[in-house]
Amino acid sequence: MGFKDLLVRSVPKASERYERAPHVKWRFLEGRAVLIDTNEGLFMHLNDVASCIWQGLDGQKSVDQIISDLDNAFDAPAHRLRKDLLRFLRRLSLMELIRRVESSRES
Amino acid sequence: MMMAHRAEPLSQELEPTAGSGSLTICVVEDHDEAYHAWKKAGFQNKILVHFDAHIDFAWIAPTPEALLEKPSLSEMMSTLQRTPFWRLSEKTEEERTHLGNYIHQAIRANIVREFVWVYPDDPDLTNQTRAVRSTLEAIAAAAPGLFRLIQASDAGYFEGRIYGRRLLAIPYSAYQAYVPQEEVLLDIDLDFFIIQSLYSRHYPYADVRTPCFWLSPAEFVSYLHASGLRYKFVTLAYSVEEGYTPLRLKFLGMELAKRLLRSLSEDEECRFEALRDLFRLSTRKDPESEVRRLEELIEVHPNDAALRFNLAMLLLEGNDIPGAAAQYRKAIEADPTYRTRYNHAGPALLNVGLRRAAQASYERMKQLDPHNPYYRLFELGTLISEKAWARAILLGRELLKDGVDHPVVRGRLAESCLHLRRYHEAWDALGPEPSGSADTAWYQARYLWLKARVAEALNRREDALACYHKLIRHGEHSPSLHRALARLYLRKRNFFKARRHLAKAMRLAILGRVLRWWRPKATWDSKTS
Repeated sequence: MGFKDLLVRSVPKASERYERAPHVKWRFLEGRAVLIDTNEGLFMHLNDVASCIWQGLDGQKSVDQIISDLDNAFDAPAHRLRKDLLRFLRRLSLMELIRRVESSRES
Repeated sequence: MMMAHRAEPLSQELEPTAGSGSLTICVVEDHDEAYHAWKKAGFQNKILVHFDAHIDFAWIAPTPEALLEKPSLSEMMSTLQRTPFWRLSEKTEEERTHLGNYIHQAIRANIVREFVWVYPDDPDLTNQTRAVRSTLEAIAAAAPGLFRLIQASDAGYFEGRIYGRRLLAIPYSAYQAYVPQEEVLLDIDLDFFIIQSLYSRHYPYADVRTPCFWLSPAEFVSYLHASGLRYKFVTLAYSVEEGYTPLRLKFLGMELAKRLLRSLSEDEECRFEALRDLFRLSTRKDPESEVRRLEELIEVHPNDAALRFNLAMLLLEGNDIPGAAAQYRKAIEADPTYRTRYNHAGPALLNVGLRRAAQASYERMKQLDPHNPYYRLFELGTLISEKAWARAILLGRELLKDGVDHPVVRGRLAESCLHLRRYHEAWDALGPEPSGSADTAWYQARYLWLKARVAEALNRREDALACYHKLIRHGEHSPSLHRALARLYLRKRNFFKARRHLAKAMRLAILGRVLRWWRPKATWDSKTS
């Protein structure tokens, strides 16, 4: 994996699909997702928008599909939702809380 | 090797007399088995009176699953604030129960409603009180939301609240004043009779070279009867395996169990007294008469393993090797549990850092039982300290072949292979992760460190990462651990995590010296303290 791959990996593409990492334990509580990263011993709870995104990270939906779900659920401009989603996914990916579904599994 | 004494009611073995009623006595090796015995018997909401030189109370952090099961976010957050969260484990709380935390489990499971720790009396009340106070303050500082200290007195009486339930710490001479009206669970550790000073340099062990009684079981039982304490279920723990009670004192469990059930016959009194006299400073001056006394008793009771084992040890001290070896052989024939790793003071002496005394103990025991593979563990440690890696590998393999499958052997074998860059052999030597207990925590951490280093050398990055992360969950926070993680994440090109761990490593390296001197302080609620 080269430096280019690293850059590409850090910016999720619209057609890509992501799934939650197995070492992350989570549940919905009071309408929000609560996450425990068992590797790092980190505990975090997400806000409404982030919880909605987290729910969509099942390895089935593409990034575009998640954006359209968000668009239906929240009253915000689509470009803003896309920007927030990509930034959030990048961060989750760097923290290894999610992983990209490989192309072989996609087909 | 585990001792034969599991949680089995001795009342089946010892016929209770009219006075003893339906008293059940469980004699166990590891003290945490008491928790399982209480649970099996279905006790709820009881007062536990715990006679021990150790409080046996450590916190158990929640599993991620248990934390996520909390009904509300606020409850989850408050649990997090109160517990050392980084000690996450995949193991369930039951699996993580050991002799250092079973009372915590019993309180959590609602078996125990009130916990009374009766600690040994010591002539130096000030130092003893200070030691108890610092023990309680350490518990309170670890989880201030769960344990509050309420009252302390100069007479050594302490009161606190664990999960809102009462905890009392009382010196032995004062417990009669706090005897409750209701029936209690009586829990006794045999080291209570031989560990007197909780501030001594040997603590948490007894003086392993010359253990002696500060209280006799006969006095204990008569004081117990006079106190009016009501009990129907007693747990007695040997704690021999962990080295707290020397194996020579194993007879104490049977003596105490019998005394609690009924009064002893003249013959039994005579036998137990002879054995106890061996640990009196005054009688140590005349070993020859002690040998004669034991020999006379053995003539009457040829199958008494305790008599024979103690005679063997006495003869060994007097350098009568053939005589000692003969008695030792007969003792282990009668009771094979006398042939353990802990049948001499060596392992406990090593634990308290008296290496030369430990070596002498190992050498002496080898003369009695040259084929006991456990005695070669010390030799393995010596080879490692001399950096004789190749010889250590040979000996380690030999020990594994002889059935000494102890985490120490595996760890030392892997360490030697690692130094000689025989990484695949080191990987194989490590084998599966050792199971957790209070005293194997150190081995587990050592195992994970070694496994991570071997995995890195074999370019098994994911395995190495898993091991380092497990170390974090075990509570390890050192600059070298975070540096290793940063190095691995750099290789994985995860700069985000690499930078984070590097920053943590630097922070710990800089603040390490400051943090070493800083400890959270517990507070006392009452003005009486």
